[in-house]
Amino acid sequence: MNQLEKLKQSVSDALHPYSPRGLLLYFLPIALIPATFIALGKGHMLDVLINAAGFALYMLAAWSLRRGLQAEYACAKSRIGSPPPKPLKTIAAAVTALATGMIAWLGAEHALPVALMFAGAAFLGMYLRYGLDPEERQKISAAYGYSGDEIRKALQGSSRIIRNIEQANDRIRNTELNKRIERICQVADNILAEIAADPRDFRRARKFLNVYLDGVLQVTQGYAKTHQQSHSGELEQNFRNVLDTIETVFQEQRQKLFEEDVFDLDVKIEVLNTQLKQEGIL
Amino acid sequence: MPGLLRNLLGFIILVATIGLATCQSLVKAEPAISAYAAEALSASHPQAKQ
Repeated sequence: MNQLEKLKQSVSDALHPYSPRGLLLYFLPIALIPATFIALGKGHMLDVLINAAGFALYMLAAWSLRRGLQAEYACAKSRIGSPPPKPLKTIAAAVTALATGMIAWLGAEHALPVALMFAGAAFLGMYLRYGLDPEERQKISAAYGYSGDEIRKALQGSSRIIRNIEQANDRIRNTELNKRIERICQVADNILAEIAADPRDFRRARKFLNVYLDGVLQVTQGYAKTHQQSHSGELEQNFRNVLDTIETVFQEQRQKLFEEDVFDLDVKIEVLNTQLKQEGIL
Repeated sequence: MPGLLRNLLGFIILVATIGLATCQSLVKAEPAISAYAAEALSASHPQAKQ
């Protein structure tokens, strides 16, 4: 991902909470405010209650819809995302239908079947405009004694580590090193996606996920911190060497994962640890 | 159904149903509103009175 794409992505992420999508529901029931006060002025308490309750329900639906849309965005962005725990958009559609049906029946005094048609139309409108919540989470099947949820949690943990590496990378002012780290993160993301698609590889990849990603995070964060304080050519070269090794190992491991070969990680991990110590990074 | 058409249809249905239900509730609370509207309409089209 080049700098421009990264900038666009981060601007889009930052602005998403302020997206106008879903605001419509806050404005549509605005007529209920004067209706409530007029009923209050006339002393019709039942009408006050109906209009105020309808307005409150619409506000609840609008709030729920906005939360649902944000959760959906976050889920779509994450590579191993799980859908929001509560079906917020569906709840918003149901509450909108309820409020519309109630206002049509008790507020506008339509017959019950007509009010039900209003409710159905409101639900249909919500479905067409905003859709319902994402389908059941992408299933990860159990493998080698690990349940699907355990595998998902492990993958999500690894995904978080990759995001932390990317954040540390943003603090490093060296285009060449930035690109190397980005490539490593990309390969790591691909490995996670492959494991999610075929969890049989999870057992073999577990050590890789635990040890290598942690190692990359440590060295990247360490380098991001130290290179701002002192600019040492030797440290930079050492870091470059380590990234070289890591990149090669990541590529190899991905290839092996693909070929369903046995992970020879124990040896590789020792090699990496020794190198990190030799280079003075650990 | 293409996304844009679906969005547009959803928007129209939402505005129509919620707008109609809430405005009818307002008119029921203040029937004079509809009377004012009718008066304004007939004032702007005098021939409608005849």
